[in-house]
Amino acid sequence: MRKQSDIKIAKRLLRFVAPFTPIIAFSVIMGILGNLAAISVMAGSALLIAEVSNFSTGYSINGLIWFVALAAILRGLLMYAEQYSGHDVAFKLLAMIRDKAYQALRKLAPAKLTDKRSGDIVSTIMGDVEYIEVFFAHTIAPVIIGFIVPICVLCFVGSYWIGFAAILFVFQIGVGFLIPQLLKSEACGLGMQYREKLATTNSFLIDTLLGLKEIIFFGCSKERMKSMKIHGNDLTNYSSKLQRHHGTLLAMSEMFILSSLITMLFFAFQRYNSGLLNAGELLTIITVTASSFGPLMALSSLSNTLANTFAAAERIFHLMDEKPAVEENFNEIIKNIEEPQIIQFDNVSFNYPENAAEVLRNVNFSAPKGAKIALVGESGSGKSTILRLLLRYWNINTGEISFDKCNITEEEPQNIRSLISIVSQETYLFNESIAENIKIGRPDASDEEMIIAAKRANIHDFIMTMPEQYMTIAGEKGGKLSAGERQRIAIARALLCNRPILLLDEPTSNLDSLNEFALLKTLNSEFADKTIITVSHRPSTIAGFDTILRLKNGNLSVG
Amino acid sequence: MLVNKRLFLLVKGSEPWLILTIITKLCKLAVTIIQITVLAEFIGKVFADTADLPSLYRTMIIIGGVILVKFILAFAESEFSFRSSIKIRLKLRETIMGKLLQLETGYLEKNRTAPLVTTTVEGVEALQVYFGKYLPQLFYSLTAPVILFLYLKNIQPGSAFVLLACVPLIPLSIIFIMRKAKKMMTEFWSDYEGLGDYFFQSLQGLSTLKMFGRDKTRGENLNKKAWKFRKSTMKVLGLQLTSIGMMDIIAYGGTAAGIIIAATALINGTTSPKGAILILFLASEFFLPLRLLGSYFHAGMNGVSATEKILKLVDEKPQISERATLLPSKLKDISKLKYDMKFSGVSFSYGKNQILNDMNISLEQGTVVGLVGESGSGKSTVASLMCRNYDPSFGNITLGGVDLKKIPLEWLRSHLAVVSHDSFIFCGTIADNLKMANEYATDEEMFNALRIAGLEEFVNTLPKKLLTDVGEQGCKLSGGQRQRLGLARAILYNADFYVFDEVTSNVDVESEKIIWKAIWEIATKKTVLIISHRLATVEKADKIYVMENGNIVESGSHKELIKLKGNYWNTARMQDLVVDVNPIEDEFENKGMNYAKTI
Repeated sequence: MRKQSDIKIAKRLLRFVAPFTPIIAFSVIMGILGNLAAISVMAGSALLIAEVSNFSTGYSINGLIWFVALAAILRGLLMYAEQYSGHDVAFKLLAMIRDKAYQALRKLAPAKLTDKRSGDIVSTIMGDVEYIEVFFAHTIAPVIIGFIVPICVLCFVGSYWIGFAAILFVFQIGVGFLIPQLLKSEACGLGMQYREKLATTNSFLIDTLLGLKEIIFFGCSKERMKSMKIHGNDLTNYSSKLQRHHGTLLAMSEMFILSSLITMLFFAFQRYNSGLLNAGELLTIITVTASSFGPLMALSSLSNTLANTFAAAERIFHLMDEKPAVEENFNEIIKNIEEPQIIQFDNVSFNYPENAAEVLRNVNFSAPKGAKIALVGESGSGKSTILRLLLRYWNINTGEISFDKCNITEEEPQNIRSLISIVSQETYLFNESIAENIKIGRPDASDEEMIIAAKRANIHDFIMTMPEQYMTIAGEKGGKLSAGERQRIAIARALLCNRPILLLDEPTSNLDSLNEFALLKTLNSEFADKTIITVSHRPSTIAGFDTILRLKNGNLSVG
Repeated sequence: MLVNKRLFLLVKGSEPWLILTIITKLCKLAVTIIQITVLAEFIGKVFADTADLPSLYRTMIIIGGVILVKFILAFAESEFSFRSSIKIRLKLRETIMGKLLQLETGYLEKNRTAPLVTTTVEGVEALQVYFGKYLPQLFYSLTAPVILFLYLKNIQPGSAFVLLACVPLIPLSIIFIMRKAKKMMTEFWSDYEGLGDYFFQSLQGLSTLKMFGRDKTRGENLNKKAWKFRKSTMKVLGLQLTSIGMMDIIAYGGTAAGIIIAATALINGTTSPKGAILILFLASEFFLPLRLLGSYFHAGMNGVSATEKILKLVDEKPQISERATLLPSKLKDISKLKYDMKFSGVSFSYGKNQILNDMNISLEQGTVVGLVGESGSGKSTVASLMCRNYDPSFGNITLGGVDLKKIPLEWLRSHLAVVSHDSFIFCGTIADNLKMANEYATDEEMFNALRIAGLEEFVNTLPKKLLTDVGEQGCKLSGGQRQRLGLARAILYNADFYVFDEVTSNVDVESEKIIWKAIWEIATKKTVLIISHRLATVEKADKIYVMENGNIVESGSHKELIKLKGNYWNTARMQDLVVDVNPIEDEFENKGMNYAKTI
């Protein structure tokens, strides 16, 4: 199951908090004082009743009244201070963890973030980040408070008779440690099962929504409803078990607390009978005992969530630890390296890390500036891999890819990429305006430049029919635009960037012949001076290219 | 006060459990009163120096009994509280699911999937706290102080009055502060969602960002947004915490006031030690229910906002209205008739955009009809209208002479199969996906369908064959395989009428070949409509309609259309120049190209 030990994870988590130690310390101190103030209200009141009943407590009536009133008001203020500072740290951490997660993924992208996997990773991270925040905001302080406040209470009752402290200690251990520990394994299992079931139900629903068309057509609505019912019932089952477990925890804790009360009462009365304790002191001890379990109860409910937090933390750490396919130095500023006069592949061989089979074997070709090269071959023949290697998604095993005489492996990937525009089958559109989407490569471009690019990419007219033209927000994954339209946005992006090399990965697979024709015309007229390397299986697309290279089983040949 | 009337109507059937939960809570209160009274009485005796061991044992036995009763009540409460929301959660989930199925694709086009799912699954789960905990606690916190007051008013009236008077201060102060916070809260939530969305997109589009060298700036923006959000969060939180602080001050201050009054009364001799001790132990019970309510407040809010979203969804109007007036017996009559489909003067507009214009087409039973045109000419809308994803704005569509609107949707769709360019593959096994089309399909039938779709061999190479898991959204299959599985599923459906909407626009060459072969095999037995932008795919059709900007501009067979030398001929000519009917190998072989030379 889990690879890292809990202690290791906890240590690493605590390293996150290290910079905030002063604020957390403040929060903890306020929390301890706040809890003590709450107990003081009760203790002071008990002493007051004892004092007015003529059992000398050593305090004046007026002094006790002031003490009780002050403790009551302080309690509110201290809790405010604890919560505010605690949340302050938590939200700072939340922002920090988001950034860390982003940076971790930034290193891994794009090589290790291709295809379907990205969706999973992203949704997990979103949840995990929130989980860890909860840990910081609501775990660290309660744990420390849950230790210190009971010790203070023990000191107080122990000052009357050390035996009281011993008895109370037993019950404190029971409520704060024994009961949660007893039920812990069960809680973890149940919690996990419940969450898993929740996740399955989620996937089922997403599946249903995405496949709604098919469900309706095949008349499977009823079956789907039935499955939904089953999922719902399962979910109810698990959550009922979980709920019962919580109920048991609560009931047992309450039982322990009341038992501690009568046990203390019994011993206090024995000491009273022996004349070692007066009635006022008896009342004070019982009152303090009754009101001292709050922080421990908070502690006992924690152990449930802790397992999830650790699992979430482990997933995030795992991501941060993953080695990127290509090391990049993010601190370096992008250098403008010169446009290459020739791109060369010399005996390039490559296999993906997870698969020993060679995708490319001794591939040789060269693309002088302005060359129009088409790569053809069956799916899986390694066409797209050549593009990915050029983009430095991966490092090659043997051979050399060079821009002029410079080996690109020795160059920062971002510098290489700054020379290349890419148009692929799938174009990711951000849920922002069309204008922002086009300008992504050059945010400083003027609107005129953008419109010119859009016109050249044959998408301007379409954009003008949209409700808010260039300010229209593209839907989820560009949902409001068809695949072909998204592709043309990608072309506009590339045109606006005006980079010397253009890579096209199956650029026309989603276009009809008319649009394909238009795109090819655009390529001919607008990218005439650029080096173009395209991957396509459509002869019509590659017809106009100067060089056609055919890949078969990783070997390249000229067509 | 966080109670939604409409949601309350949904609770029907759950009231007994809600009431039981509240009753259990009140029983617990009663038992607590007994326990504390016994304890106070005994300590009172100690104060009067009249306590002896037998009275200690009596007290201990009674409290021991109380422990047992409380233990049982705690279980009962947890059970009742849980049960109060079981039904409503199941019911809501089904209502939502049913609604989504009814609203169909139109709604999904407008709304994003992820939030919808959150609404359904998580929102509904949030209701567990709302119904099981928040609502009972709300009633309980209104009644408990009154019960305590009634009990204490004869023993120590001054304290009882002060304590009761302090209780309403808590909700009042919360309301006062919340009113101030309300505007802030709305802003806060939209900020929160905005940030989450931004983060999500930054991760999803990371590859793109990196390509354009925008990953660094995006990260910086993300950070800026996150810190700005943190600041606004802290403002809202400050207000919320003020209300919590106020609550604490009132609760503890009230408790202290009640006890101090009792102590004064003790000095004046107007109360007994027992009375004062009773106040000491019971004072905090006045405020406990409200404080607990406060801790459910957040969950309660979530429940309410989830409810609002759910109710909004439930209120959504479907795109088409089911007004099937045809009796089942009549449907048999259509079956006997030929079911030719006819579009008569059909126009359709979506929003402001006129998509179809006065369309007249007829699809005769047993024929193969092609519908060609550029993308955006309205071809796919024709398919949507045929299966009633939408209804025409003007004109009508008839099947066997009967208006489509009069035919029950279920019947229509059981006779019509649409295969689009992105057949959706469900999570599960190959068999699961195939059986969607025909629950009772035998392995033999499934393999037959797979054979036609050219997947038989592939499935046979899999160790688990039909029981192979295809992963989420069929991610373990290639695009072409998914599409062919979708086709096999459609074949198994055995509809009378097949619509193929750009089926091969997204697949590799090998799959393309196989799919077209399969389609023409289907065409020998069924009525088929092929929607495509590549003329070569419809060349053999009995009749071809050519669309342009929502109008049918030409129709006829391939030969007739070529003779017309119009729009179709033009496109055909252009596609002949750049046509890609044959997969790449053939093309190269035809041209006798030699590609064995290595550089």
